[in-house]
Amino acid sequence: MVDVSEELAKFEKKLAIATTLILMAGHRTPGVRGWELRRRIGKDYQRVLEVLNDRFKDLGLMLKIVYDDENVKDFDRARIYAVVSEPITTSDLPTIGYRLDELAILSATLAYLFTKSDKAPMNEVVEVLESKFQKWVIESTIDKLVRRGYLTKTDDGFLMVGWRVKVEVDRQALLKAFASMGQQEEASSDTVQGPSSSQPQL
Amino acid sequence: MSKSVALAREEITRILLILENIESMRVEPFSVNISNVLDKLRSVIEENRDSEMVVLDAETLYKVAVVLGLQQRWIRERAASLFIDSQLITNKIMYCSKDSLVRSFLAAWHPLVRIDQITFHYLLKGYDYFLSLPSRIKRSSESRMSDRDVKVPEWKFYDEAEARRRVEELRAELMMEGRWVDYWEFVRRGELGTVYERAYFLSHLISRGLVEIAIDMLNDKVMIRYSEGARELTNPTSFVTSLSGG
Repeated sequence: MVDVSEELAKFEKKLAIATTLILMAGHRTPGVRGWELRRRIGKDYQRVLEVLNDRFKDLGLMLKIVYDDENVKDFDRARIYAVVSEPITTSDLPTIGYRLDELAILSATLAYLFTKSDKAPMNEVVEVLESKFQKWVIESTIDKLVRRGYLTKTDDGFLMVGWRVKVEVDRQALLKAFASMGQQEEASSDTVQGPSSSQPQL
Repeated sequence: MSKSVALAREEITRILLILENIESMRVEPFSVNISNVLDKLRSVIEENRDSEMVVLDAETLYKVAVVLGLQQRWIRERAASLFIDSQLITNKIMYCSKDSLVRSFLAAWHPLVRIDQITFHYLLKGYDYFLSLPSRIKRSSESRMSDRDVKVPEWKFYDEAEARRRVEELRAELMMEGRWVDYWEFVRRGELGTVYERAYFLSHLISRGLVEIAIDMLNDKVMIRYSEGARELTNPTSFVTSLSGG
């Protein structure tokens, strides 16, 4: 006969191991691959992730699954991350170490790149941003964003979307927000509600 | 080379250049009419069938396939981005405030959560590992390390009969236990120098199915048990242990 409390204890231990593996950034790239979780906690790791995602929700976090190939959706090869589920407010930005100018440049650059198949010549992007910022501010901020993984520079002078954008940014929500930016201007408030479509699919 | 061949080659090279520009995303994928390119290729290859032209034609066909793939991706991405184009975004960037740009980003941003610092648990693990490392200090008369601390295994060469005897001894020892035994506790029995030897002979018994092995990944434990006879291994796998701490 199966001892229920023993099984529950085992499952709790699996949850703890999964949390550690997902949150600990031992490598340069954080998160954990599906197969790494399967090897460590067993075949039922997807069930463990579902329960962990429910627990995370209470803490304002959620799991984000990023597939190598969106068409194939191989869970074993996918990378699993923990991200903040609740929207960040502008007053939180200094606390988490970002300046308004940096985020404004990131926002505009990403929206522009999203309409250009994630890749555009660097000088073209700088030219667009120069309507709002000085050139040296743009260039130093882009370098900083490249170091943080949000953008990638290629040798032939192109700027591309970085790995971190796939994890952290909801592409459609950003473009929708840009499309309705004129109306937003009047009814601006400190808190911005995030879209409901950004929930992870486990 | 005839003038017509030179002209045909020049034309294909020009088409190749356009397709390469699209491939490197300098030009939009739909800026070229693929059916016109294919018609042109067909007429050129029908008129000039020399090997150089065939190679050029094949290369162009490959680039056409790449551009078709890019066109497909372009349509998909346009649909996903609600057909918002770069011109609209440029206008928004020019006419809206920095605050609006930031607020748009915050609506779509879910920052990554990760822990960079070490935890107490990992600190203890690291300390354990540190203690298990062999000392690199040269022995001297002032050394406080005992003979047992620095003893290294003495390697012996066994003939076949002696090796068989050692294997049987280990098996008998396990049979006497009659239960699951911790692998590390078992190989570390006896003198310090025999750890490697016991692990080596035990690996033969495990490979032949004369000793059962169970691995508990959750508790990081490896258990072994005496087995009556060699069993057919349906799904054999390798299991590696490190004796560096041993």
